[in-house]
Amino acid sequence: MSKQIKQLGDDVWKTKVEKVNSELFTLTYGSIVAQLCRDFNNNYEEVNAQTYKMGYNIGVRLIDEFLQKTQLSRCSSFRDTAEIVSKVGFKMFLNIVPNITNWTSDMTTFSLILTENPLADFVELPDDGKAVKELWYSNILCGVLRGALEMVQLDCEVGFISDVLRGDETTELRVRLVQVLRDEIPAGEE
Amino acid sequence: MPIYSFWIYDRHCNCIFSREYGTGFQDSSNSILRSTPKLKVSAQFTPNASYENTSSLPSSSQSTQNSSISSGRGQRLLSSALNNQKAQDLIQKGTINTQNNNNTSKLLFGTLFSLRKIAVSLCTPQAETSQEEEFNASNLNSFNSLQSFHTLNYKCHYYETMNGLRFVVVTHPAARNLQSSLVEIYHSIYLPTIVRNPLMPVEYREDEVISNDRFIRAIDEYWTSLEETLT
Repeated sequence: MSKQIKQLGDDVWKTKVEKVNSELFTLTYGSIVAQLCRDFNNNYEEVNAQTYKMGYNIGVRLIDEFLQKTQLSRCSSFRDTAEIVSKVGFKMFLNIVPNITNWTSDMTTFSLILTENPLADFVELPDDGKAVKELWYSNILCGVLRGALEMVQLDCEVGFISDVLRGDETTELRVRLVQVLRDEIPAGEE
Repeated sequence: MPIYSFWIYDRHCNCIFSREYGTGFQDSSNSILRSTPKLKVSAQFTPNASYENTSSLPSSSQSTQNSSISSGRGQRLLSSALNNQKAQDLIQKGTINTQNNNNTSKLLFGTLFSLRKIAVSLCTPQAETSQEEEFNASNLNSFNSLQSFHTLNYKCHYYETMNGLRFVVVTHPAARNLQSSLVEIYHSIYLPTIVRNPLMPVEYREDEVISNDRFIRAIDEYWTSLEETLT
């Protein structure tokens, strides 16, 4: 099953996805973050919030494209969701496959270890001593995941807990399932 | 097989697009949902372990239908002129977004909503863990999904995406299953003109509808390009 998912991710990436130059992508994102830092006077908390919000707005639309290109049916457990996110989602949009580890025993939280991160190529954080503690450079990814999962009824909390840019050994993204959202029912119906 | 109307509902159960076609049928359309004799429901069970493509797009079938209607060249010209006339009639005599909040729209949604609920509850895969149960509890989680139902007067085709959009088309009862057309509309019309359009919202406010010209034109073109909708 896991193999099937990997195969699907490869196929979609090879045949259905339009590609852009990765340096263009990296540099564009870099200049967005740099501009945000200037705009908010290096208030990195605010920069994190803004990139997260951008990501969220991308995610709620991106899910449509994801569903169209993959034609997947619904996952039967959160473990499946994790596999799909890593092997199909990240593969098709960023051409990376993060490792899934550190499941909690109740199976509601997992980590994605980004062995490579195309957003963070050529990047050095500002050396004001503050950025390495406060800025989550690739925070847009958290927003994208959050938005996309919410649209398929999975209310999740997503955040970075370590980043190689900050000098950590790995780049680790934590995803926690808060609840599975219920369908909305029309007004006036039980 | 005339086409009567086309509807889109968002995940908050609001009708965000409605289109009636000028088939002379809309006069009685207010009563269309009140008479439902001979209800037939067809649903499909898909095992939840399958990640394969369950719906393949019939892009080729459309073109074969177009080319096989008539053999003689003159006849074809004549029929295409006639069809153009019919297509014009269909489009011009219809209405756009006038029915979104009336009873027909709400009854249609209610009917589909309940039918889907029944279809799901009749056959739900066994959950092994409590978390899987939670996953299955969401109604959208319908491995057992509603495709269409028909009565003596009309046939109603239904397609629901995983993020809660519902596409509905009402046609003559003799129509073939048009669910694949609804999938194609989602893929090749809704996605490029609405989702990829930064001017269109993702979440619709109450009473907000899709009034995007390109979208409406594409929808009209799509339905009138199906040869069978004109005959």
